Amino acid sequence: MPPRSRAPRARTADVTAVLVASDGAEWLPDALAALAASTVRPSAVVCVDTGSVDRSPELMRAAHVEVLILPRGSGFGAAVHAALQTVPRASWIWLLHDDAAPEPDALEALLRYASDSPSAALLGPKVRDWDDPRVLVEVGVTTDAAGHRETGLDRREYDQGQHDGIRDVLAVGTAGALIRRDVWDDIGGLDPQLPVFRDDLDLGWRVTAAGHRVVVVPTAAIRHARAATTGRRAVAAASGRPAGIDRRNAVFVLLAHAAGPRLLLTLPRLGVACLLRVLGFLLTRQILAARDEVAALLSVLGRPARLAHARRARARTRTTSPGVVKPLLAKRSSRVRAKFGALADWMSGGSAPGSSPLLGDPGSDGDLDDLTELTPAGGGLVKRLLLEPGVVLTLSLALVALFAERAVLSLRGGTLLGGRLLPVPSGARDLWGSYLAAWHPSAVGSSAAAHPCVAALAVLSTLLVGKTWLALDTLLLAGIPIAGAVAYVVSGRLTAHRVLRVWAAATWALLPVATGSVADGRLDGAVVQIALPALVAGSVTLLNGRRNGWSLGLGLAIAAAFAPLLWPLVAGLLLAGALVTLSLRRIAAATIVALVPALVLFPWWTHPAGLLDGPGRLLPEAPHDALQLLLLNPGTGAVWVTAGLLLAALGGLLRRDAHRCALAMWAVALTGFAAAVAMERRGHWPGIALQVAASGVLGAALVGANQLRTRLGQTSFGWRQLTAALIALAAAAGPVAEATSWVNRGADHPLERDMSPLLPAFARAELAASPGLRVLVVRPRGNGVAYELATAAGVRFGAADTSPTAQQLRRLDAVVADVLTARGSDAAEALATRAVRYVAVPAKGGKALAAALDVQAGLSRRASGEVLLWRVVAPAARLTQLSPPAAAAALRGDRGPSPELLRTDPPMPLPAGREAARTSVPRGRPGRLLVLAEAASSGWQATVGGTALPKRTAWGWAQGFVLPTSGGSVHIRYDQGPRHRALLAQGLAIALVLILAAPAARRRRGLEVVDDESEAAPVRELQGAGR
Amino acid sequence: MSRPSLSLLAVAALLVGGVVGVNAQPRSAPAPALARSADVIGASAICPDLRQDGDLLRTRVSAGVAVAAQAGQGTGSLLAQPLSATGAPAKLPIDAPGHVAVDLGSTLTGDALEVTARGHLAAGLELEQVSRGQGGSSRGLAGLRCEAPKTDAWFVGGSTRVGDSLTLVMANPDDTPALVDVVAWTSDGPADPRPGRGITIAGRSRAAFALDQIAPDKEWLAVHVVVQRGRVAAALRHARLDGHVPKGVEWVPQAQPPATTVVVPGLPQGPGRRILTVTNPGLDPTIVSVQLTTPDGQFVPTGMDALAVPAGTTLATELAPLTDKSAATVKIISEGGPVIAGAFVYDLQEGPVREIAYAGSALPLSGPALVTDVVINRPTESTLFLTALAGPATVDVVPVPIVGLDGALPAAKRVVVPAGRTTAVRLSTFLPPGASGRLAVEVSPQPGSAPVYAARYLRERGSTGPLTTMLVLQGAAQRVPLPAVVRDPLVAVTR
Repeated sequence: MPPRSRAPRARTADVTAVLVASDGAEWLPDALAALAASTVRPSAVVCVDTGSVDRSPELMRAAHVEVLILPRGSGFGAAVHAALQTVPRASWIWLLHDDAAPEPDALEALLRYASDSPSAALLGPKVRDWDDPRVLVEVGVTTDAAGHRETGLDRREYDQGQHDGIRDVLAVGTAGALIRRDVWDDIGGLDPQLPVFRDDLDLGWRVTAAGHRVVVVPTAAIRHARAATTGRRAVAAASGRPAGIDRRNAVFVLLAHAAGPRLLLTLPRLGVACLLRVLGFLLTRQILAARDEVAALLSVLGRPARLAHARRARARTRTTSPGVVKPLLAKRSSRVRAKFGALADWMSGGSAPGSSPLLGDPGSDGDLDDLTELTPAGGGLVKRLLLEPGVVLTLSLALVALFAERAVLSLRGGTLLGGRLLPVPSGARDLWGSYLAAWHPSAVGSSAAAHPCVAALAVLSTLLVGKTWLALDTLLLAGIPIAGAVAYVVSGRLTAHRVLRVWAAATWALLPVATGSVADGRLDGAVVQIALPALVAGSVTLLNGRRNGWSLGLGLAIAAAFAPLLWPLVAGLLLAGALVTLSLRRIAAATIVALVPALVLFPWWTHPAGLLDGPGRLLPEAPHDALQLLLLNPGTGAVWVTAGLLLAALGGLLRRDAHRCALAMWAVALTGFAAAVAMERRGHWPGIALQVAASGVLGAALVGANQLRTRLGQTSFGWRQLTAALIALAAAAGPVAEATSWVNRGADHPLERDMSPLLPAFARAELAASPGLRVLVVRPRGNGVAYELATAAGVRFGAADTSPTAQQLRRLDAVVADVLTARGSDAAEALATRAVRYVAVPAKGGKALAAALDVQAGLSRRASGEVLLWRVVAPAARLTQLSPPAAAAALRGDRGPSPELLRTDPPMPLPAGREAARTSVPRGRPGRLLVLAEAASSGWQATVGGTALPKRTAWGWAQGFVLPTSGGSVHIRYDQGPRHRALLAQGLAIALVLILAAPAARRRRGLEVVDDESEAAPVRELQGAGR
Repeated sequence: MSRPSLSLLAVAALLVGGVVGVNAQPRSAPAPALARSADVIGASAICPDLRQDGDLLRTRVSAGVAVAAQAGQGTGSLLAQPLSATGAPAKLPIDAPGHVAVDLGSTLTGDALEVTARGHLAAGLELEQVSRGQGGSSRGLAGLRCEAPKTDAWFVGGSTRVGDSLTLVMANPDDTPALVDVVAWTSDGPADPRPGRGITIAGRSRAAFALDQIAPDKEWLAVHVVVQRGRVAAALRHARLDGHVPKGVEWVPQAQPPATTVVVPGLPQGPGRRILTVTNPGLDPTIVSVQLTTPDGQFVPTGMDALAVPAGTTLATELAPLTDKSAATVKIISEGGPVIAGAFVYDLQEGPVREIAYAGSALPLSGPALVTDVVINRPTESTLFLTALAGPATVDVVPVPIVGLDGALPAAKRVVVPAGRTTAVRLSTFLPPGASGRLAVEVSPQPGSAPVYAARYLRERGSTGPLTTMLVLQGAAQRVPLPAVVRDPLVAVTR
């Protein structure tokens, strides 16, 4: 294809075209053809080959007589310099790559603008993608202070003319760039120090600095494969990873151009940026990238002579002030904006289902709705979202929840509590404090480890700007719509049929166990409802061998922080599934999933109480009927709403083509049911196990419903069709019925939003004035009595999960029973030793209790309003000093001081803080005892002037210290060391898991992300195994 | 059958079988909070009004501790202290249950005596006071079971007519002041409650309240003492005087709180008046029926099967002459709201001097009950009335050693009370005929017995006429049920 013959009409311009080839045989034919088709013919075309090992030289020779052969490894700049010396000097140089094909009128357009605007010395075309010419790649480039290459374009932005204005830019890519020959000579052309990458930026910067304009002319266009950038060919001109070379050159260019003293500003900024990037790379496990980052900075700074030389060269040609360049540099914010744009793009497009059905061909049934046939860009985002079925479903669920939760939605504030939910403190800081604490003010105090859900809730609250109520409302009140949204997204893995997906998501979100969890204030149930669909999807991906276990394990750990039972259930099922595949890799991944929660939840599970329960469990659960469990209903809700779902799931077993899949789902369901029965038998809440069962049942039902119409259509109408229709009707009615029933019942019992303090103001003031004082609250419950020992701060979230030891509770139980019984016991004095100042009984229903308390000699009635209040007559304080006779009684194990002792040697209250105490004790007789009204524990320490005091157990339960006769300044504190060490271990474990679980950066071949098609691949293998 | 169909059947069978199988073995209900009970380990009682006046009026307090049903080892203390005293309390000479101390408080006058028991001496503590007056408004026998300080007390009986003085004595054993409301009903309806409101009793002191302040010139009163704050031991003293002629004195016993079935045990036989008073403290009228249980049988007297008691009023019914020949225990059944009841005993005698006694309502004996001070001599006779309403009962009457009194104890007696009968036991039969002495007995229903009601009637033939007093036996609580308690933090966060 000799160009002479191809373009007879073309006029010739005074332009030297330089085409540099390097292993470009793949693209070269197109590139050469495009050059030949140019409407304006360069006066000279020089082809340079930089030592290609493929057919590049031959291809070029076929098109042009003259091909300059340079040794392999020559850079682009060097090649251009060499080429220019072989031809006569022309007014313009047109730089061409072997993987770039200019449009026929590109040169013409560039020249036209150049002639119109003589100040433009370097002109570049609009660069489009080689494979998909709709995609814009570049319209001029610039850099920011950290050396990022900025194009100002979104990822895969389509060219719709939105960037078609002629603009001044800092630089243009060298592919198709037209530069004035005199300017080229003035500034010395492309820097041979930068054989590849960033040479364009450097060139443009120097042209701009020399007082010329760099212009992008979008009417000229070029297709560019960017073979080196995308890693489609190896870079021969420089050694190392392309990303590393690029980074090194970026640093070099920045430092070389920083004029004079500005270097002092650029250098530290670059250092900080480098550090941040390294951290980011390490967190996302891009170790090589991190290494490149460091190496880039070091290698540039490590050769100061070269840098100085480059700086001198640039200073020579610079004729303008830095103020000329500055507006052309990218700002940091533009990069952030671009990230956000990408995120929004991912979110709006990301929720659309991939073409990834689990079961058979999705297309045949998906004929109902093409509502979301979206163009990738454009179209109102809101309109697009509102037409998305998943969004419609989520909004509908939110509306249902809004009506059902009308009584607990708050406009006036107040705390959400009731059922299993204790009031959560208002700030995330308090939650953190309660999680980190080694000693919890629960009843008489406890050294138990805090429930991990406290930490999880604290993290969520911190993310929600410290608002714990927002975190709580999100999980509990908005949990059902969120669960529906998650289920909708996940259901795309099982079926592409949107109606089925909407049904499945609605059914999942409106399971009786979900609505029941809200009404009971069960955070564990609400969280599992949100998390389980995602965990199931992750498990399926893992079983298909497409995922390592770390991130799934982390997800499981987060869910298990609220619902510990999920850990053995999901891990067990996953391990069983992995064992079935007989793949060592999958078994290893499943093992990782099973072990990660142990790492993440470390300090807590070493304390075995309540290992299977969510937060707030102290009392045994009400018994359930087995049928109730089968209908996935652990307590509340309409009873038969899930019958259709169960029948549909049974129907799933009848599918021949996905039989193994249905069986697998039923295995999950049956495991869940068995676990539910086991939990129920032991007096635990079976809800979590039922949620696991429900996920299996729903999966099996989806298996059954998928392509049902097609399959039934293959036989003539008969009982099969009728049965299927009836079951479908029943199944479809389920979520509607539950939604109606939920709205009718409301979600406010026992959950409530309360804002009235229990105690009257004077008692609250008194308790607040002396921290550590407690109040015993008693309330009739069934045939017996329920009680709690609360401090002025009130009972807070987690108090039920950090119980005192069973022995301490037994003692306390006995005291409370005695104080409610007219047996003349010393229970009131025993309460006083526990720093109880008041006994409170809510007036409603408390008459019998009031009568019992009235006759107690050690109590005296103080208030008779809504809350009846008795003051404990004996002096109560958190810290008391006992004289020797009283100390003897305390050490003997008496429950409290006798009336005679109270008369002769009453305990002397000492000031004490909420946790630690500092006070001074006068000198006195030997045998005195200092008693702290907290459960005796090895962690308590008291020192006088640095000497530790001997520890004793006082009154049979409290922490006592033997006082020396000398007295002095006493310091009492709880040893936080072991707890803090455990937390440190947990923090390290979490950091490790986070690093290992962080989404690995997409596979990179070069500088640019390559869309990995396999990532959206279906879970077809599972199905394949089933056949 | 195809594999899918088989698996469908298998899964369905598994589900159905699971439901049936699980339901067949219902979860063992959470261990029901055991009906636990515990020994009483601390008790106190107050005799609220001790008076001495040389030989003219002597008041004696006797204290005893019944043998616990489950004989417990241990230590304990029994201390007595006058209410107004501040010093260390005196130790009573009882070291083990099953002993009685008599003649306490003989030096006290115008004071109350508080007895406090701890440890194994607390279960079964009983305290009794008896005054014997020779003349004036104190002439006669007045006996009182000294009660523990409480937050409410009911009394049925008394009058505020001319010549009657009806005084409520209230003792506050605590250091903090007590606040009391006194409410009264008469045969004409509820009395004006205002004067009885807000009576303050200072710490460790007594207060006397004359009932004519709230119900002047009324007969057949019923009184409810409501303690708003603190604890109070209350007693109601009725003394009658016509000019200078004594017409009798007695403590009105504390009545059981309102109930639909009330039993007033042990109305003594003999000529005289036996007036049953039934008060309806409710807001709705009720109809009561009255049943007598005598040594010969049970019957409803003519015209007493349906007596109307309007709301807030007191009904007084004469039981004589049905009681002339036989002792009787009265059972009142209300068809409407709960009622309170008592009886007034008035011996017929020659001459102007009169003596009265009150019988109070009672619960069946909960355990061994003590009669702590029985004086037996020629003019004095103590009679124990035992009534079994529903079934036969066996009761052991066991003499108990009195501390400081030597000599062999008389043999115990086993009394069998047939169903629906009242049996009288003359305590003088424990001593040889004609002998005199002092005695204390423990009345303990034997296991397997039907509920037994008991009362003691003391009658002394005086030179100017009889001196009488009655005492309802109740038995001090020895074991009390403990509530099942469970910690639940949620109770502290909601109203």
